[in-house]
Amino acid sequence: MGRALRRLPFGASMAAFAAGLALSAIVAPASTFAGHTLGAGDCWRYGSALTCRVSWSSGDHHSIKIRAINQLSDSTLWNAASTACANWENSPGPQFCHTTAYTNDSWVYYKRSDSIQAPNGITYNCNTSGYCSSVAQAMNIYWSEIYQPIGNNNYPSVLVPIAAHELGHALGLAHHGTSGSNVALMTSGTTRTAPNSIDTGPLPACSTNPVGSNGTGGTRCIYNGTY
Amino acid sequence: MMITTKGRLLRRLFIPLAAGLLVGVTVVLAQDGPKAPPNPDAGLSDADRANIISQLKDRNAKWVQDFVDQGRDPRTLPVVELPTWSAGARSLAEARAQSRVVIAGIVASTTYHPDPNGLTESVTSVQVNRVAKGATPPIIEVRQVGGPAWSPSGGELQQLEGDPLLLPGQDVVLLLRSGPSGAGYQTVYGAGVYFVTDAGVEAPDSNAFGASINGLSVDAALALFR
Repeated sequence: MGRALRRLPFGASMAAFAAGLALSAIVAPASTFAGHTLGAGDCWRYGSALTCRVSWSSGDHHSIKIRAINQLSDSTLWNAASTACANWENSPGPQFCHTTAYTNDSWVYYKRSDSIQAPNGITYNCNTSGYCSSVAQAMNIYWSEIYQPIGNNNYPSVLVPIAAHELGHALGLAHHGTSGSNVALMTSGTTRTAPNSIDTGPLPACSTNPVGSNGTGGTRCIYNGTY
Repeated sequence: MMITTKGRLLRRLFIPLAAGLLVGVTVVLAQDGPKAPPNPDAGLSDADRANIISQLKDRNAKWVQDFVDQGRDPRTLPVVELPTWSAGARSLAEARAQSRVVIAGIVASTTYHPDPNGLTESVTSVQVNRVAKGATPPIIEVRQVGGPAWSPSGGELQQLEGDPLLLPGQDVVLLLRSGPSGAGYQTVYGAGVYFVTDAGVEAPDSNAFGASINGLSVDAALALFR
Protein backbone atom coordinates (compact mmCIF):
# COMPACT_ATOMS: atom_id res chain seq x y z
CA MET A 1 0.00 0.00 0.00
CA GLY A 2 2.76 2.41 0.97
CA ARG A 3 4.63 1.53 -2.24
CA ALA A 4 1.48 2.15 -4.23
CA LEU A 5 0.99 5.53 -2.60
CA ARG A 6 4.54 6.50 -3.41
CA ARG A 7 4.04 5.48 -7.09
CA LEU A 8 0.68 7.20 -7.48
CA PRO A 9 1.94 10.72 -6.87
CA PHE A 10 4.66 10.27 -9.55
CA GLY A 11 2.14 9.10 -12.16
CA ALA A 12 -0.27 11.75 -11.04
CA SER A 13 2.52 14.32 -11.26
CA MET A 14 3.09 13.51 -14.90
CA ALA A 15 -0.63 13.68 -15.55
CA ALA A 16 -0.79 17.01 -13.76
CA PHE A 17 2.11 18.36 -15.80
CA ALA A 18 0.37 17.31 -19.00
CA ALA A 19 -2.85 18.84 -17.74
CA GLY A 20 -0.97 22.05 -17.08
CA LEU A 21 0.34 22.08 -20.64
CA ALA A 22 -3.13 21.46 -21.97
CA LEU A 23 -4.57 24.18 -19.76
CA SER A 24 -1.95 26.61 -21.04
CA ALA A 25 -3.30 26.16 -24.55
CA ILE A 26 -6.64 27.40 -23.28
CA VAL A 27 -5.51 30.34 -21.19
CA ALA A 28 -2.66 31.66 -23.39
CA PRO A 29 -3.31 34.22 -26.17
CA ALA A 30 -3.00 31.57 -28.90
CA SER A 31 -6.39 30.25 -27.79
CA THR A 32 -7.93 33.19 -29.64
CA PHE A 33 -7.17 31.28 -32.84
CA ALA A 34 -9.93 28.85 -32.05
CA GLY A 35 -13.59 29.11 -32.73
CA HIS A 36 -13.64 30.96 -36.03
CA THR A 37 -15.04 29.89 -39.36
CA LEU A 38 -12.22 28.77 -41.61
CA GLY A 39 -12.21 28.97 -45.35
CA ALA A 40 -15.31 31.12 -45.57
CA GLY A 41 -13.79 33.61 -47.91
CA ASP A 42 -10.86 35.19 -46.24
CA CYS A 43 -8.34 32.47 -45.61
CA TRP A 44 -8.61 32.43 -41.85
CA ARG A 45 -6.09 32.54 -40.43
CA TYR A 46 -2.45 32.75 -39.33
CA GLY A 47 -1.12 29.56 -37.89
CA SER A 48 -4.22 27.52 -38.64
CA ALA A 49 -4.22 24.55 -40.94
CA LEU A 50 -6.05 26.76 -43.40
CA THR A 51 -3.72 29.72 -43.30
CA CYS A 52 -3.53 31.79 -46.43
CA ARG A 53 -0.27 32.85 -48.01
CA VAL A 54 2.44 31.37 -45.87
CA SER A 55 4.84 33.39 -43.79
CA TRP A 56 7.64 30.87 -44.04
CA SER A 57 9.35 29.90 -40.80
CA SER A 58 12.65 31.41 -41.87
CA GLY A 59 10.97 34.78 -42.20
CA ASP A 60 9.16 37.26 -40.01
CA HIS A 61 5.99 35.53 -38.87
CA HIS A 62 4.13 38.81 -38.61
CA SER A 63 4.50 39.91 -42.20
CA ILE A 64 4.16 38.76 -45.78
CA LYS A 65 6.52 39.77 -48.55
CA ILE A 66 5.06 39.75 -52.04
CA ARG A 67 7.14 39.93 -55.19
CA ALA A 68 5.04 41.05 -58.17
CA ILE A 69 6.33 39.50 -61.39
CA ASN A 70 5.57 41.01 -64.78
CA GLN A 71 4.19 38.62 -67.38
CA LEU A 72 1.74 41.13 -68.85
CA SER A 73 3.61 42.00 -72.05
CA ASP A 74 2.15 45.48 -71.79
CA SER A 75 3.78 48.49 -70.15
CA THR A 76 0.53 50.28 -69.28
CA LEU A 77 -0.90 47.28 -67.45
CA TRP A 78 2.45 46.69 -65.71
CA ASN A 79 2.76 50.33 -64.63
CA ALA A 80 -0.66 50.00 -63.00
CA ALA A 81 0.35 46.74 -61.32
CA SER A 82 3.57 48.32 -60.03
CA THR A 83 1.60 51.22 -58.59
CA ALA A 84 -0.84 48.79 -56.96
CA CYS A 85 2.07 46.87 -55.45
CA ALA A 86 3.59 50.08 -54.09
CA ASN A 87 0.24 51.14 -52.64
CA TRP A 88 0.00 47.91 -50.61
CA GLU A 89 3.65 48.30 -49.56
CA ASN A 90 3.12 51.88 -48.38
CA SER A 91 -0.07 51.17 -46.44
CA PRO A 92 -0.05 50.26 -42.74
CA GLY A 93 -0.11 46.56 -42.05
CA PRO A 94 1.99 43.42 -42.34
CA GLN A 95 2.03 43.27 -46.14
CA PHE A 96 4.98 44.26 -48.28
CA CYS A 97 5.19 44.27 -52.04
CA HIS A 98 8.20 44.75 -54.30
CA THR A 99 8.71 44.27 -58.00
CA THR A 100 12.27 43.01 -57.42
CA ALA A 101 13.62 40.02 -55.48
CA TYR A 102 14.04 40.16 -51.70
CA THR A 103 14.54 37.60 -48.96
CA ASN A 104 11.67 35.15 -48.34
CA ASP A 105 9.50 36.75 -50.97
CA SER A 106 6.29 35.09 -52.14
CA TRP A 107 5.45 35.29 -55.83
CA VAL A 108 2.48 36.90 -57.52
CA TYR A 109 2.46 36.76 -61.31
CA TYR A 110 0.64 39.49 -63.20
CA LYS A 111 -0.46 37.78 -66.41
CA ARG A 112 -2.57 38.69 -69.38
CA SER A 113 -5.60 36.94 -70.74
CA ASP A 114 -7.63 38.63 -73.40
CA SER A 115 -10.34 35.99 -72.96
CA ILE A 116 -11.53 38.04 -69.98
CA GLN A 117 -14.10 40.76 -70.66
CA ALA A 118 -12.76 44.22 -69.81
CA PRO A 119 -12.69 45.83 -67.38
CA ASN A 120 -11.93 42.97 -65.03
CA GLY A 121 -9.34 40.87 -63.26
CA ILE A 122 -9.18 37.33 -61.85
CA THR A 123 -6.89 35.85 -59.23
CA TYR A 124 -5.92 32.20 -58.86
CA ASN A 125 -4.14 31.19 -55.67
CA CYS A 126 -2.01 28.04 -55.81
CA ASN A 127 -0.55 25.81 -53.10
CA THR A 128 2.63 23.73 -53.12
CA SER A 129 0.87 20.78 -54.77
CA GLY A 130 -0.07 23.04 -57.69
CA TYR A 131 -3.75 23.29 -56.82
CA CYS A 132 -4.86 26.67 -58.20
CA SER A 133 -8.29 27.96 -57.25
CA SER A 134 -10.45 30.68 -55.76
CA VAL A 135 -9.53 32.72 -52.69
CA ALA A 136 -12.56 31.07 -51.08
CA GLN A 137 -10.72 27.74 -51.10
CA ALA A 138 -8.65 27.75 -47.93
CA MET A 139 -5.07 26.83 -48.60
CA ASN A 140 -1.49 27.70 -47.84
CA ILE A 141 -0.79 29.89 -50.85
CA TYR A 142 2.53 29.18 -52.57
CA TRP A 143 2.09 31.48 -55.56
CA SER A 144 -0.71 33.47 -57.21
CA GLU A 145 -1.63 34.40 -60.76
CA ILE A 146 -3.55 37.57 -61.53
CA TYR A 147 -5.04 37.69 -65.02
CA GLN A 148 -6.14 40.87 -66.76
CA PRO A 149 -7.21 41.59 -70.34
CA ILE A 150 -5.49 44.16 -72.56
CA GLY A 151 -8.92 45.74 -72.87
CA ASN A 152 -8.50 47.12 -69.34
CA ASN A 153 -6.39 49.84 -70.94
CA ASN A 154 -9.64 51.25 -72.34
CA TYR A 155 -10.69 52.00 -68.76
CA PRO A 156 -7.72 53.97 -67.38
CA SER A 157 -9.52 55.10 -64.23
CA VAL A 158 -9.77 51.52 -62.94
CA LEU A 159 -6.41 50.13 -64.05
CA VAL A 160 -4.80 50.57 -60.62
CA PRO A 161 -7.96 49.66 -58.67
CA ILE A 162 -8.21 46.33 -60.52
CA ALA A 163 -4.52 45.51 -60.04
CA ALA A 164 -4.63 46.46 -56.34
CA HIS A 165 -7.94 44.66 -55.70
CA GLU A 166 -6.63 41.44 -57.23
CA LEU A 167 -3.44 41.70 -55.18
CA GLY A 168 -5.72 41.73 -52.14
CA HIS A 169 -7.13 38.36 -53.26
CA ALA A 170 -3.56 37.10 -53.65
CA LEU A 171 -2.97 38.13 -50.03
CA GLY A 172 -5.96 36.02 -49.03
CA LEU A 173 -8.71 38.63 -48.77
CA ALA A 174 -12.23 37.95 -50.00
CA HIS A 175 -14.70 40.55 -51.23
CA HIS A 176 -16.02 42.98 -48.66
CA GLY A 177 -19.27 44.95 -48.71
CA THR A 178 -22.00 45.35 -51.28
CA SER A 179 -20.83 45.42 -54.87
CA GLY A 180 -20.30 49.02 -55.99
CA SER A 181 -20.45 50.45 -52.45
CA ASN A 182 -16.72 51.20 -52.66
CA VAL A 183 -16.27 50.91 -48.90
CA ALA A 184 -12.94 49.11 -49.28
CA LEU A 185 -10.40 48.10 -51.87
CA MET A 186 -11.80 44.58 -51.56
CA THR A 187 -15.30 45.70 -52.59
CA SER A 188 -16.32 44.34 -55.97
CA GLY A 189 -16.10 47.10 -58.58
CA THR A 190 -13.97 49.33 -56.36
CA THR A 191 -12.40 52.51 -57.69
CA ARG A 192 -10.03 52.75 -54.72
CA THR A 193 -6.37 52.50 -55.55
CA ALA A 194 -4.99 51.48 -52.15
CA PRO A 195 -6.10 49.45 -49.13
CA ASN A 196 -7.89 51.22 -46.29
CA SER A 197 -8.39 50.28 -42.64
CA ILE A 198 -10.98 47.65 -43.57
CA ASP A 199 -8.59 45.92 -45.94
CA THR A 200 -5.68 45.89 -43.52
CA GLY A 201 -7.78 45.41 -40.39
CA PRO A 202 -7.40 46.69 -36.84
CA LEU A 203 -4.73 46.32 -34.20
CA PRO A 204 -4.58 44.15 -32.25
CA ALA A 205 -5.03 41.73 -35.13
CA CYS A 206 -8.43 40.05 -35.41
CA SER A 207 -9.94 42.21 -32.66
CA THR A 208 -13.08 43.11 -34.62
CA ASN A 209 -16.14 40.94 -34.36
CA PRO A 210 -17.20 38.72 -35.85
CA VAL A 211 -13.72 37.63 -36.80
CA GLY A 212 -13.81 35.46 -39.86
CA SER A 213 -16.70 37.02 -41.70
CA ASN A 214 -15.66 38.30 -45.08
CA GLY A 215 -13.16 41.10 -44.89
CA THR A 216 -13.56 41.95 -41.22
CA GLY A 217 -10.06 40.93 -40.26
CA GLY A 218 -7.93 42.24 -43.09
CA THR A 219 -4.32 41.40 -43.72
CA ARG A 220 -3.34 41.99 -40.11
CA CYS A 221 -5.67 39.23 -39.01
CA ILE A 222 -4.52 36.78 -41.68
CA TYR A 223 -0.83 37.31 -40.96
CA ASN A 224 -1.09 38.02 -37.23
CA GLY A 225 0.25 41.49 -37.91
CA THR A 226 1.67 43.39 -34.97
CA TYR A 227 2.23 46.66 -36.84
CA MET B 1 -1.98 10.76 9.17
CA MET B 2 -4.47 10.63 6.27
CA ILE B 3 -4.56 14.46 6.11
CA THR B 4 -0.79 14.56 5.87
CA THR B 5 -0.81 12.01 3.06
CA LYS B 6 -3.52 13.93 1.19
CA GLY B 7 -1.65 17.21 1.67
CA ARG B 8 1.53 15.64 0.34
CA LEU B 9 -0.44 14.23 -2.57
CA LEU B 10 -2.01 17.61 -3.37
CA ARG B 11 1.37 19.33 -3.20
CA ARG B 12 2.77 16.72 -5.57
CA LEU B 13 -0.12 17.36 -7.98
CA PHE B 14 -0.23 21.14 -7.69
CA ILE B 15 3.47 21.78 -8.31
CA PRO B 16 3.69 19.83 -11.59
CA LEU B 17 0.33 21.26 -12.69
CA ALA B 18 1.63 24.76 -12.14
CA ALA B 19 4.94 23.87 -13.80
CA GLY B 20 3.17 22.46 -16.82
CA LEU B 21 1.00 25.56 -17.06
CA LEU B 22 4.05 27.83 -16.80
CA VAL B 23 6.00 25.92 -19.44
CA GLY B 24 3.02 25.78 -21.78
CA VAL B 25 2.22 29.48 -21.53
CA THR B 26 5.89 30.39 -21.99
CA VAL B 27 6.18 28.26 -25.11
CA VAL B 28 2.98 29.65 -26.60
CA LEU B 29 4.00 33.24 -25.89
CA ALA B 30 7.48 32.67 -27.28
CA GLN B 31 6.32 31.28 -30.61
CA ASP B 32 3.51 33.78 -31.22
CA GLY B 33 1.11 31.12 -32.36
CA PRO B 34 1.58 27.80 -34.08
CA LYS B 35 4.83 27.26 -35.90
CA ALA B 36 4.95 28.32 -39.53
CA PRO B 37 5.88 25.64 -42.07
CA PRO B 38 9.41 25.44 -43.47
CA ASN B 39 10.09 27.49 -46.57
CA PRO B 40 10.01 25.09 -49.54
CA ASP B 41 12.03 27.61 -51.54
CA ALA B 42 14.92 27.78 -49.10
CA GLY B 43 18.17 27.56 -51.03
CA LEU B 44 16.48 27.60 -54.44
CA SER B 45 17.32 30.07 -57.18
CA ASP B 46 14.62 32.03 -58.98
CA ALA B 47 15.08 29.69 -61.93
CA ASP B 48 14.52 26.66 -59.68
CA ARG B 49 11.36 28.22 -58.24
CA ALA B 50 10.01 29.12 -61.66
CA ASN B 51 10.74 25.61 -62.87
CA ILE B 52 8.76 24.06 -60.00
CA ILE B 53 5.76 26.24 -60.81
CA SER B 54 6.09 25.53 -64.51
CA GLN B 55 6.11 21.76 -63.92
CA LEU B 56 3.01 21.96 -61.73
CA LYS B 57 1.20 24.02 -64.36
CA ASP B 58 2.20 21.55 -67.08
CA ARG B 59 0.76 18.74 -64.97
CA ASN B 60 -2.47 20.72 -64.54
CA ALA B 61 -2.73 21.45 -68.27
CA LYS B 62 -2.21 17.76 -69.08
CA TRP B 63 -4.97 16.85 -66.62
CA VAL B 64 -7.40 19.17 -68.44
CA GLN B 65 -6.38 17.74 -71.82
CA ASP B 66 -6.88 14.18 -70.52
CA PHE B 67 -10.28 15.21 -69.15
CA VAL B 68 -11.30 16.40 -72.63
CA ASP B 69 -9.72 13.46 -74.47
CA GLN B 70 -11.45 10.95 -72.21
CA GLY B 71 -14.81 12.65 -72.76
CA ARG B 72 -15.38 13.04 -69.04
CA ASP B 73 -18.53 14.75 -67.85
CA PRO B 74 -17.94 18.19 -66.24
CA ARG B 75 -21.17 17.75 -64.29
CA THR B 76 -19.39 15.18 -62.12
CA LEU B 77 -17.07 17.87 -60.76
CA PRO B 78 -17.81 20.16 -57.84
CA VAL B 79 -18.29 23.77 -58.97
CA VAL B 80 -15.98 26.46 -57.58
CA GLU B 81 -16.66 30.12 -58.32
CA LEU B 82 -13.84 32.61 -58.79
CA PRO B 83 -14.51 36.16 -57.60
CA THR B 84 -13.63 38.93 -60.04
CA TRP B 85 -13.18 42.68 -59.72
CA SER B 86 -16.28 43.33 -61.81
CA ALA B 87 -19.76 42.33 -60.72
CA GLY B 88 -20.94 42.72 -64.29
CA ALA B 89 -23.89 44.61 -65.71
CA ARG B 90 -25.60 46.87 -63.17
CA SER B 91 -29.07 46.59 -64.68
CA LEU B 92 -30.97 44.51 -67.20
CA ALA B 93 -31.04 47.53 -69.48
CA GLU B 94 -27.25 47.74 -69.28
CA ALA B 95 -26.97 44.01 -69.95
CA ARG B 96 -29.19 44.37 -72.99
CA ALA B 97 -27.16 47.35 -74.21
CA GLN B 98 -23.95 45.31 -73.89
CA SER B 99 -25.40 42.44 -75.90
CA ARG B 100 -24.99 42.05 -79.64
CA VAL B 101 -27.48 39.20 -79.83
CA VAL B 102 -30.08 37.67 -77.51
CA ILE B 103 -31.11 34.10 -78.22
CA ALA B 104 -32.88 31.05 -76.83
CA GLY B 105 -31.32 27.71 -77.63
CA ILE B 106 -29.85 24.38 -76.55
CA VAL B 107 -26.24 23.78 -75.56
CA ALA B 108 -25.04 21.15 -78.04
CA SER B 109 -21.48 20.51 -76.89
CA THR B 110 -18.63 22.01 -74.91
CA THR B 111 -14.88 21.60 -74.98
CA TYR B 112 -12.07 23.16 -73.00
CA HIS B 113 -8.62 24.38 -73.90
CA PRO B 114 -6.03 26.83 -72.62
CA ASP B 115 -6.07 30.30 -74.17
CA PRO B 116 -2.70 31.64 -75.45
CA ASN B 117 -1.77 32.65 -71.87
CA GLY B 118 -2.69 29.40 -70.18
CA LEU B 119 -6.11 30.34 -68.81
CA THR B 120 -8.65 27.58 -69.38
CA GLU B 121 -11.41 28.61 -71.75
CA SER B 122 -14.72 26.88 -72.35
CA VAL B 123 -15.87 26.78 -75.98
CA THR B 124 -19.52 25.87 -76.41
CA SER B 125 -21.67 25.17 -79.46
CA VAL B 126 -25.21 26.42 -79.03
CA GLN B 127 -28.07 25.50 -81.33
CA VAL B 128 -30.11 28.68 -81.75
CA ASN B 129 -33.89 28.20 -81.67
CA ARG B 130 -35.10 31.80 -81.29
CA VAL B 131 -33.48 35.19 -81.76
CA ALA B 132 -34.74 38.24 -79.87
CA LYS B 133 -32.01 40.68 -80.82
CA GLY B 134 -29.53 40.71 -83.69
CA ALA B 135 -29.01 37.93 -86.20
CA THR B 136 -27.10 34.66 -85.81
CA PRO B 137 -26.41 31.48 -87.77
CA PRO B 138 -28.26 28.34 -86.52
CA ILE B 139 -25.22 27.19 -84.55
CA ILE B 140 -23.01 29.64 -82.70
CA GLU B 141 -19.82 29.36 -80.66
CA VAL B 142 -19.79 30.86 -77.15
CA ARG B 143 -16.56 31.35 -75.20
CA GLN B 144 -16.32 31.64 -71.42
CA VAL B 145 -13.41 31.73 -68.99
CA GLY B 146 -13.21 28.59 -66.85
CA GLY B 147 -13.52 24.83 -67.06
CA PRO B 148 -12.26 21.68 -65.39
CA ALA B 149 -9.17 22.11 -63.24
CA TRP B 150 -6.91 19.74 -61.38
CA SER B 151 -7.44 19.45 -57.64
CA PRO B 152 -6.07 17.00 -55.08
CA SER B 153 -9.56 15.56 -54.68
CA GLY B 154 -10.03 14.66 -58.35
CA GLY B 155 -10.74 17.95 -60.05
CA GLU B 156 -13.24 20.79 -59.92
CA LEU B 157 -15.21 22.88 -62.37
CA GLN B 158 -14.03 26.47 -62.07
CA GLN B 159 -16.23 29.29 -63.30
CA LEU B 160 -16.34 33.04 -62.80
CA GLU B 161 -18.73 34.31 -60.13
CA GLY B 162 -20.98 36.13 -62.60
CA ASP B 163 -20.73 33.74 -65.50
CA PRO B 164 -21.88 30.14 -64.96
CA LEU B 165 -20.41 27.74 -67.49
CA LEU B 166 -22.70 26.35 -70.16
CA LEU B 167 -22.99 22.56 -70.11
CA PRO B 168 -24.26 20.20 -72.82
CA GLY B 169 -28.01 19.65 -72.88
CA GLN B 170 -28.94 22.88 -71.10
CA ASP B 171 -31.91 24.85 -72.39
CA VAL B 172 -30.83 28.49 -72.19
CA VAL B 173 -31.55 32.13 -72.87
CA LEU B 174 -28.32 34.01 -73.58
CA LEU B 175 -27.28 37.65 -73.89
CA LEU B 176 -24.13 37.59 -76.00
CA ARG B 177 -21.49 40.07 -77.06
CA SER B 178 -18.79 39.69 -79.66
CA GLY B 179 -15.82 37.49 -78.79
CA PRO B 180 -12.46 39.07 -77.86
CA SER B 181 -11.05 39.11 -81.40
CA GLY B 182 -14.39 39.30 -83.16
CA ALA B 183 -14.63 35.50 -83.36
CA GLY B 184 -17.68 33.87 -81.81
CA TYR B 185 -19.48 35.29 -78.80
CA GLN B 186 -19.05 35.80 -75.08
CA THR B 187 -21.83 35.84 -72.52
CA VAL B 188 -22.59 39.31 -71.14
CA TYR B 189 -20.77 39.20 -67.81
CA GLY B 190 -23.00 39.06 -64.73
CA ALA B 191 -26.34 38.90 -66.53
CA GLY B 192 -25.91 36.92 -69.72
CA VAL B 193 -26.92 33.35 -68.82
CA TYR B 194 -30.43 32.13 -67.95
CA PHE B 195 -31.61 28.53 -67.67
CA VAL B 196 -34.97 27.29 -68.92
CA THR B 197 -36.58 24.85 -66.50
CA ASP B 198 -40.06 23.40 -65.96
CA ALA B 199 -40.73 26.43 -63.75
CA GLY B 200 -39.78 28.87 -66.50
CA VAL B 201 -36.67 30.95 -67.00
CA GLU B 202 -34.31 31.08 -64.02
CA ALA B 203 -31.36 33.31 -63.36
CA PRO B 204 -28.33 31.78 -61.63
CA ASP B 205 -27.74 32.80 -58.02
CA SER B 206 -24.90 35.11 -59.02
CA ASN B 207 -27.26 37.15 -61.23
CA ALA B 208 -28.61 40.21 -59.38
CA PHE B 209 -31.74 40.41 -61.51
CA GLY B 210 -33.33 37.07 -60.72
CA ALA B 211 -36.39 38.72 -59.19
CA SER B 212 -37.25 40.29 -62.56
CA ILE B 213 -36.67 37.13 -64.57
CA ASN B 214 -37.34 34.02 -62.54
CA GLY B 215 -40.49 32.18 -63.54
CA LEU B 216 -41.03 34.04 -66.81
CA SER B 217 -41.82 32.06 -69.95
CA VAL B 218 -39.13 32.05 -72.65
CA ASP B 219 -41.32 34.37 -74.74
CA ALA B 220 -41.66 36.85 -71.89
CA ALA B 221 -37.94 36.71 -71.09
CA LEU B 222 -36.99 37.32 -74.72
CA ALA B 223 -39.45 40.19 -74.89
CA LEU B 224 -37.61 41.83 -71.97
CA PHE B 225 -34.43 41.95 -74.03
CA ARG B 226 -35.91 42.65 -77.46
